[in-house]
Amino acid sequence: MRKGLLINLDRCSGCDSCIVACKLENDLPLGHFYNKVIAVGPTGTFPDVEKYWLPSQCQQCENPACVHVCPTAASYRDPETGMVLIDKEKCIGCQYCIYACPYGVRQFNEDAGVVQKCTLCAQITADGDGVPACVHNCNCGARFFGDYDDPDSDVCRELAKYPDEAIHTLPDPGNAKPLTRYILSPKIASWKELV
Amino acid sequence: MAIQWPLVLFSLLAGGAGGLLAFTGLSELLGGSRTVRRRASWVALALLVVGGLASVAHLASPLHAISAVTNLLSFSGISIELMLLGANFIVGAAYLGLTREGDGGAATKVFAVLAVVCGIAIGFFCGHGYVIDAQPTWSTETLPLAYLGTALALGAFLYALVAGLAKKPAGAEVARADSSDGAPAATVVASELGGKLWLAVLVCCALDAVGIVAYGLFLGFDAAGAHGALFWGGCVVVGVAGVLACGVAGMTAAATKAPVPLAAVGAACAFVGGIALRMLMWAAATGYLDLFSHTVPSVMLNL
Ligand code: SF4
Ligand code: SF4
Ligand code: SF4
Repeated sequence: MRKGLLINLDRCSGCDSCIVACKLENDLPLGHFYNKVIAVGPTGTFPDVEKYWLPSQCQQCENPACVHVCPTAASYRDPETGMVLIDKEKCIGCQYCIYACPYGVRQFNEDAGVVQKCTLCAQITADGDGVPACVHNCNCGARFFGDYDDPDSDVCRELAKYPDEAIHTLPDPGNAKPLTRYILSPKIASWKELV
Repeated sequence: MAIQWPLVLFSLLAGGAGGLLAFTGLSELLGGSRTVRRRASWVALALLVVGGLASVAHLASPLHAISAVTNLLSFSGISIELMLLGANFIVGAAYLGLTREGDGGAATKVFAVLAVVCGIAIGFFCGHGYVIDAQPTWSTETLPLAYLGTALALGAFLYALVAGLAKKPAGAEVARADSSDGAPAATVVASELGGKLWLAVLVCCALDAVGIVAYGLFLGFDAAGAHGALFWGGCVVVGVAGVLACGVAGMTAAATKAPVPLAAVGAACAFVGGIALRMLMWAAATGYLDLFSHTVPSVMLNL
């Protein structure tokens, strides 16, 4: 099983609802985020300009560097669901996972002394039902959650509607194998590698 | 990225302690004074403790260090550093125990070899944990090489300093105690490592210079030079030129005339160079795709 997010950038309006929903659901204080929406662009010269929004959070790497460097096994990949999570009881706040994550999507929580990141709302999704708050609250229907190995899951059904050229992952610096897929059709904007 | 001082200090102090232990082992194998070796081992143990405490200061709570210790077999970069920290401490302490009442015999030689191996390893692996894909400016084997070189140079000069300060050599063990110059400090230093101490120091200085220059070249002069004072001042002038100058001076009459000031200045240069190199590493870290560094999440504010 490989549970993760799929985000359809053709539909994303950059409204930031996912950020707000995430902060509410996970009770994140000022300055703390599990996800951010990044503006890519505008690029080009008028009238040929383009811009898209890149909602960013843990990419649920299949070969996660954050897990490999963790000295206490606090960061782990759930063998059943494939979800990369942090056991805060075990985290010693050494922050090596922050240095090792290629996408800069982990944050150190000074008050708790532990590192935090998107949990795919495990408190909602662990029992197999329900979707993360960002997915539920995306008012453009741009976010999907499910098992990438199950052709009947929301993510696979949405992916099936698009040709390969519209399906992207963030660039991989080595062998991280980010699971999260982004849909961006060339007619909307050209995908930027950002590195 | 913000400079992580506890880690900067830990890696240099623990690596320097490793260098000291490696020189202690070499002295045991090649010849030298037991007094010097024992004092050097004590200094190494002290540096390992201070370095270890510095690294604990990096954690959210000092008690958390226990969790890392109980999960050593994860073989993460940190657990390898911890294992080597423990190994160096055990080797140093065992050596002191064995030589408490004179030469410990064959077992001492075994620990001497272990001291050389573990002492070199900790310098290298304190840098190797940082070789990760997510940090393009760290993802090079020149980084652990520079960590090793700076640590060895520090350990080497500290060993020469300990030898120079040991005015009262342990009699018969000093091969050339009756050498003609009559300066006790210089005599002890000159007899260390079978008379090859300053040559060994020079080799460590050369490694230090090669490591720093190699890492600087990897970063590129633009990226490294963006941190001008750190790179040109701390790394190049002090860490490379200063250290090399002291190393070369060790091969001249200066080593006989003023071994203690020479070793002290050398150790100071190696320390400053080692700190500057580690600061540069943190300052030059960019991340691969640092998505959350974009501080304004709201797109409206971007317009
Ligand atoms: S994106 Fe970063 S935090 Fe998420 S699994 Fe990959 S390495 Fe770990
Ligand atoms: S900060 Fe916590 S989760 Fe990250 S590597 Fe250290 S112990 Fe593991
Ligand atoms: S809530 Fe949906 S539409 Fe709004 S920014 Fe997030 S992904 Fe885009």
